[in-house]
Amino acid sequence: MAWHIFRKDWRLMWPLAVGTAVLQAWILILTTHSTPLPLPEATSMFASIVTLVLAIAMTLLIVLSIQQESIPSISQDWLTRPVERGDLLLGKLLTIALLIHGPIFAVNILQGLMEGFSLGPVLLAALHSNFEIALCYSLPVMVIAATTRGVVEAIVFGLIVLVITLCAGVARPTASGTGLVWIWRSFAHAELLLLTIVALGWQYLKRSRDGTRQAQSLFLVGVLLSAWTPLLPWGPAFAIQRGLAATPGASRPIAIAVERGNAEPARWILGDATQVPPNKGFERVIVPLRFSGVPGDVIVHVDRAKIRLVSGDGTLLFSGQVPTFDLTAHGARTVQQAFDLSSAFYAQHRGQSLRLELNYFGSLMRGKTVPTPVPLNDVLRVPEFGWCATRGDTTVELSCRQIGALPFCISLAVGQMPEKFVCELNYEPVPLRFSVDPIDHVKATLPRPGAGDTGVTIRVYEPVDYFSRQVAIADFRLQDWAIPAGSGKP
Amino acid sequence: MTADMIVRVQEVWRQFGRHEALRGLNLAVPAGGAYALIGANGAGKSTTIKVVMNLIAPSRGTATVMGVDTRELPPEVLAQIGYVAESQVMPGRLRVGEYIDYLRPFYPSWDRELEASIRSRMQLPADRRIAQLSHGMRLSLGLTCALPYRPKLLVLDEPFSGLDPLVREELMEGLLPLLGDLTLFIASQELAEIESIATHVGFMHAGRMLLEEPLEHLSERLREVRVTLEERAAVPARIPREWLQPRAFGNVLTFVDTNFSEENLAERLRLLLGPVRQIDTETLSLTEVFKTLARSARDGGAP
Repeated sequence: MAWHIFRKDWRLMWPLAVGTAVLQAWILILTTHSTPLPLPEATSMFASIVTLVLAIAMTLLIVLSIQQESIPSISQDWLTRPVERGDLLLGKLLTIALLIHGPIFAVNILQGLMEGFSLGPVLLAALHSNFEIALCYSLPVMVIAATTRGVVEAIVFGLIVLVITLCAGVARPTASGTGLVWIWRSFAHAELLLLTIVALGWQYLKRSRDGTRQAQSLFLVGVLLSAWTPLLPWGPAFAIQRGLAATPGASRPIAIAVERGNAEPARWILGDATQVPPNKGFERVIVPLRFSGVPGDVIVHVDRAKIRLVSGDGTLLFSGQVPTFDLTAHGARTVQQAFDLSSAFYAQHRGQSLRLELNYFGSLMRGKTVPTPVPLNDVLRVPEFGWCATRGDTTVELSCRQIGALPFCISLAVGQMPEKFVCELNYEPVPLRFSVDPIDHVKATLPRPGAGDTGVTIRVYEPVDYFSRQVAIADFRLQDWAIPAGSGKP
Repeated sequence: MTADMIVRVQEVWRQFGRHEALRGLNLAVPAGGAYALIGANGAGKSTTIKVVMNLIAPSRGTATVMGVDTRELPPEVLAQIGYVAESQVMPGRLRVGEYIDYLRPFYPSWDRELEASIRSRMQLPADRRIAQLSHGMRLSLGLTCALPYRPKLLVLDEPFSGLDPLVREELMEGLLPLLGDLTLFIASQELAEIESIATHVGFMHAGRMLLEEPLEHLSERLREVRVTLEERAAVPARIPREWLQPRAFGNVLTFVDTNFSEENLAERLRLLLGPVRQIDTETLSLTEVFKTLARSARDGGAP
């Protein structure tokens, strides 16, 4: 009967379904790249507008097809017909799979093949893309449609869901900005998927007429949990990440101790943070540290640093996160760990003997140079990196497109110029890197090349191991480590 | 009612916000009969039928159809129920023929010959979209989609409004007898249409069942009594509770006796009204029954 229900939906919805497929084909024509270089701005903007129209049309298609058999309705004829709810649910899933995901899948495959990628990775990327779209879009829209009586009611409920998502997202206590954020996102996706499935099952399979509010509540709980994901603290998440290390034990020799001499200011290589002076009403304390046992060819990236200040009688006086930093490969192994305390706190405890605990959670990132540089003003297929192209004389614009996921952290260099890092930290295992767009891309602009420079050298940085360490200082007096206001030095 | 009940509603309450549409409703439809649910607009008839069809859930109380709680009506039971309502929404973009084709596989007992017979009587245009049908044609389509599987229970909620007289006659006299062992549960204001087939009557007022009994009993019990007195008639200051709508004109006093009995009638009337010249009694049509009960309920009397 599921197929029978789908065929009826097709009879009703085919003009809209064909319309969305045509829009997708149009976007495919607009956005398929003949080279990996970015599209002209006007084309890109026009494609964005068509994409927005497509999103609206697809949402309408899902809502209308689901509401052909509206469950909360009190007047639709089908409610008094012997329709098995399981068949109805399957029929609707079939409608969404074939009318929404079918064309998306086909377009993904076509685009991948047209851009010169081979069928296997294209299929895999298309599956990944469709899974992500189903999880974050089709299934939630399906729940919204199934628990409302009409398009207007669906829009209102959709807006409520959106507001809740945004509000919960603002208060998100997770690890955004770190490479571990995928763990929370995976939990969020799992929570959303689970509660979406439960809400759909509840709404479709329960024949009682009073389940709609419960189904809506279940879905909202899923949305809330997925937006907030408070279920996993940092420690267990980091333990999961350590369990996935490519070279377990590589970080074992690393030790961190207080540096008695001068230390280098903190640097950020993989991120774009900068050290700013303390805010008014705060005092800055700096602890010089030395890292030892670090392999010479790796970047040490501190993902998170936590501080605790404990009084002599064991009372916890202060705890929180402190700024992180990176240590360059082959570079200095000292760093100034800075943290700011409120002036009131500082004044109260400045001469007191405290215990300082600094807890570090870090990653070792090893770089690997892509054997062939990308020639200037040319296109090159880089193995496992996709199509890369460069253009420009005064500056070099580099752009790469790869089916599936590109490495999340690369550095680019022209000739002997310093590396330019392009990193969006994400330690997620590649098979789990789902994205709506099956083709990943990266672009960067580099300084003007020298006279003899012929290409851009790409280095790929991947995490090899993760570590956690603690530095503790007994008899720690704030006044001995604080920097005088305006001096910048301890 | 102790017979085998195909529909039973027990102490059902249904609230819409602050409004109580049903207030402790009790109702029982005997199998094989034709139950006419009557009442003024807003009495709760359609809400009752929606509860019976599991279109809305009762706030309290239970309703069963064929012994199954309406909140859990499975497809096997729904396959034995035909439902036609004025407010029924069918997929407007489908054509008449497509919709019948769509519904057919859901019913194991669908009789294609009966379908053909009904379609020829209803004369529905197979190629027209449902949204383009008139109100009456939509009801005809509802009937066409509710009968070919020979339902055991046919639930009709205001099925006649908009139907032309020929189709009404076809339905009541031509189609329903074709269905065999059928129980009819019908809410309608078109009382003249259902009087000929109704076996039981339930009268609802303000969400409650005020009266429910076989039509035969009701006809015997409710009589219009016309008493011609020797002298000028006047409505007595104290009248029996069973008398409804007493009115006097000249020497004649007229009322509806809700507990009519011929036994000692003349003597009882003489004691109450004085010398009686003539007594005439008349059975009430369903329309008159409805009007009498509705007026009485409105005025706070008991039927």
